[in-house]
Amino acid sequence: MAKVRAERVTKVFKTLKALDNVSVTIDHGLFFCLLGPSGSGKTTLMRIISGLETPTSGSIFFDDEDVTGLSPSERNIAMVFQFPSIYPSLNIYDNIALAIRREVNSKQEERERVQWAASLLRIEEHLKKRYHEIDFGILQRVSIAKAIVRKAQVYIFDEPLSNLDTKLRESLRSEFQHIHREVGGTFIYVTHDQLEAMAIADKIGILRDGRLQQVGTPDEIYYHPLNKFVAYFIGSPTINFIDTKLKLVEDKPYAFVGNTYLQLDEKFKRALQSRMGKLENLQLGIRPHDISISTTPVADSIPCNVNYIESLGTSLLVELVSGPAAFKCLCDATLNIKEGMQVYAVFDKEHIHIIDPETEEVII
Amino acid sequence: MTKVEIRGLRKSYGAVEALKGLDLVVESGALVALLGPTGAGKTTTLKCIAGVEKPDSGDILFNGESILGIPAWRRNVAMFFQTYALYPHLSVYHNIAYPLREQKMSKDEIDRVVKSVAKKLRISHLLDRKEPSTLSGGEMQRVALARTLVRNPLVFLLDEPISNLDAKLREEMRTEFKRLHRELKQTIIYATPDYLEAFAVAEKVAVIKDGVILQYDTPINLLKRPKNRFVATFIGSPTINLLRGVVRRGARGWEFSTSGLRLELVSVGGAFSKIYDGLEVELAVRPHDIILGEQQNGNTFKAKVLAAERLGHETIITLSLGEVELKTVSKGMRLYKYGDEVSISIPGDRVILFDVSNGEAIH
Repeated sequence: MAKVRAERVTKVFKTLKALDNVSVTIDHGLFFCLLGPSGSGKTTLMRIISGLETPTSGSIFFDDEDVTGLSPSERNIAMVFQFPSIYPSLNIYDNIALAIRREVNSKQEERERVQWAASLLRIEEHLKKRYHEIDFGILQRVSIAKAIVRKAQVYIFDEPLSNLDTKLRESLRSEFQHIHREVGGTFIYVTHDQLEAMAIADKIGILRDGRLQQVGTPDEIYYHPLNKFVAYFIGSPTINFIDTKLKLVEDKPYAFVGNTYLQLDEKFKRALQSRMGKLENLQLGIRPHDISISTTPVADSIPCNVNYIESLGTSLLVELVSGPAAFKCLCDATLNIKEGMQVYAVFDKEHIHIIDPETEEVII
Repeated sequence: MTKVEIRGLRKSYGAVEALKGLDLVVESGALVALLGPTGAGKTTTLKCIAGVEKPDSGDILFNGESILGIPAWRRNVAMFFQTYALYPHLSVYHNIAYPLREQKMSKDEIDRVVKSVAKKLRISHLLDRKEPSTLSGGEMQRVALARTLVRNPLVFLLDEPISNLDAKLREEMRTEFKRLHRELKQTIIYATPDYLEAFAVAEKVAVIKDGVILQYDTPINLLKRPKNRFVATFIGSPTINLLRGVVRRGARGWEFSTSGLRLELVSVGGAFSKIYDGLEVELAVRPHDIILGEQQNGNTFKAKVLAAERLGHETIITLSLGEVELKTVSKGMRLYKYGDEVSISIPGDRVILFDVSNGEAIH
C-alpha cells in the first residue's frame, strides 16, 4: 500500500476549471473519502490519482515516487465503479480469480485468496454462478471482491453504492469498515452522499467547484467545519443559518436571534473581541438536532411559533419562526405540538457556530 | 379538487401481471405517496390514471365518475417524470408558457399565470434565462414543475420526481413539495421508492408491492404497526432487525427463543390471541428501539461491536450476539470500536412478531 499525495493539481477541460490547485496527502492504509456535490471535481481528482486522466498541471506521488505520467496498471491501482464490471462468460469464481492471475504462483494460492475475498464480501454461495443468475447487489459485491482480492497500491471506489437500492446500500455500507480493516490498504472512495462518507471514512476531503474546502476526520468536519459550505453540506437535516448580530453586555457575549438576545458561552467572547467593529450582519449556525423544544417557558429560550411540521417517522422536523428568523429543529415524534402553536426553543450552546456570510468563514 | 378512486385495477404486459387488483382512494386535495420498490407497479398505476395505459379491468373514478372512457388528452391530469425534458431552445419563461400558448390563452393572461406560478416555486429570477441547460438540477426541476402547474390540472401525478437529484438537494426538494401542496391544495399522487421521501411529503402512504397495496396508513402506523414483514423491512432506516425463532410458554408468560437468545415478550393491549407454544415466528425489532446499556426489566444481552457508522446526528452500531447480528442506533456521534463489549436490552413490548408461513403480523 502507498501513501498518496496530490500536489497543486489543476485540471482544465476547455474553458472549465474542474480542479483548482488541489493539494492533499492520504496516508497509507487510510480510508479516505472524496466528498462533494456533482460537478465539484471529486471524480476528476479520483481519475487523476488513478491515472485515467492527466492533470493540466501538478503532480501525483505514490509514497515518494512521482507517478503522474504512469498508467493505472503501472500505478497498480484496483478500482470499483458505479456499475459492476463482470465478464458474463465466466462464473463468479473465475471472474475474481482473473483479477489475480498475474499475482498468484499456484492454484492453491489462487483458491485461498478468492475464498478469502468471497467470504469477506459474503458471496461464497454464489461463486459457481454466472452473471445472469445473480442480482445487481450481489454483482456489485463481486466487483468489490475483484478489486480487494488484488495486492494493489491503492484501492479506488467510484460511488460503488450509488446504484444500489437503499437497503443494499445500507448493508454494504456497514460492512465497508470491516472490509477495509481486513484488506489493510489505502482506500480512496468517491461519493456525493455525506452520510456514506461520515459512516465509513477515516478522513474526508470535501470539494466544491474544484477546490478543496476541508480535510479532516468525520468528527472534525462535523463539529468544526471551516466554512459555511462544509457546515451546510455535512449533516442531515441541514444546519440552520440564522441572521444574527453579537454584542457584549457586562462583559458577556450575546447573539440576537429572532426577537431575543441569547447568552453565549464564554468562548465566544474571545472570538468576538478579535472582531471588534464587525459584530453585525453575521450568521448563527446550529444543527436541527441541537435545538430542543419546550412547550412551557424555560430560562434562556427563544419564544417561537410552530410554522411547519415534517414527519420523518420516529422524529419530526419542525420549522420554528421567531420574528424574522426561521429555523428547523429535529425532535421526537412523541412531542405533542401542532402547527401554529407557541413553543420555546432551547439551543445547545456547545454546538453554536458564528459565521461571516461575506467570507463564508466559520469564525467559531 | 378531485377525489380519485381506484377500484380493482388490473393490468398485464404479456405474461407479467403489473397490477393485480389495486384499490386506492385518494381524498380530494390530499397528497398521497405511492411507496414501493422498483417493479411494484407504481408507474403503471400512474399511467393508468393519466390515460397513457389502458387497464385490463377495474375502474378509475374522479369525483365519483369513471374516467376510463375519456382519452388522455382530455383528462386534464398532469404527469411529472424523473427526467424533466425542458425545451432547450426556449427560455425559462417560454418553457413555462408553452402549454398555455397551446391552449390559445391571451398574452396578458399567460404572463400573469407564468409569473404567479414562478413566484410560488421561487424561480421568478430565472424567467429570463435563455438556456435551460445552464440551470442547476434543482432549478431545472422547478421549471419543469412550473410548466406542469400552469395547466391547473385536476390531479397531479409525480413519478419519482426527485430521484435524479443529489442527496442534499433531494432533502430540500421534498420540503418544497409539501409546502407547494399546502398552497395549491390539489390532489397529488407521489410515487417514490424512498420511504423517507414518502413520509416527508405525504400524510398517508400506500405501500405497493407486486401490483397490490399492502398497507395504506399514516407514517407512524407504518413504522409501529406494519401489517406484514415486507412493510416492516421496506420502511425504516436502518432496516428493522429480524430474528427467526420459536414462541414458547415460559414461567412469566410468552417467550421468544432463537439460537442462544431468549426474550420475554410483553403484549401491547391484551394477550397474544393467535400464538401458541411452538409457533415458528420471525421477531422484528427496530434499531431505534434497542437500548444500549442494561435495563431493569430484563431482556438484557451481552454483545460485541462489529461496526459503528457515525452519521453525525446518530451512530448506527452493528452488533454480534453469538450467531445473531443486530443493529441499534444511538443519538449523536458515539465512539465504538470493533470488538468492544456492550450490553443491550430489547424491550419486550417493542417487538413485532410475524408468522413464518405467510409473513403476516401476529397481534
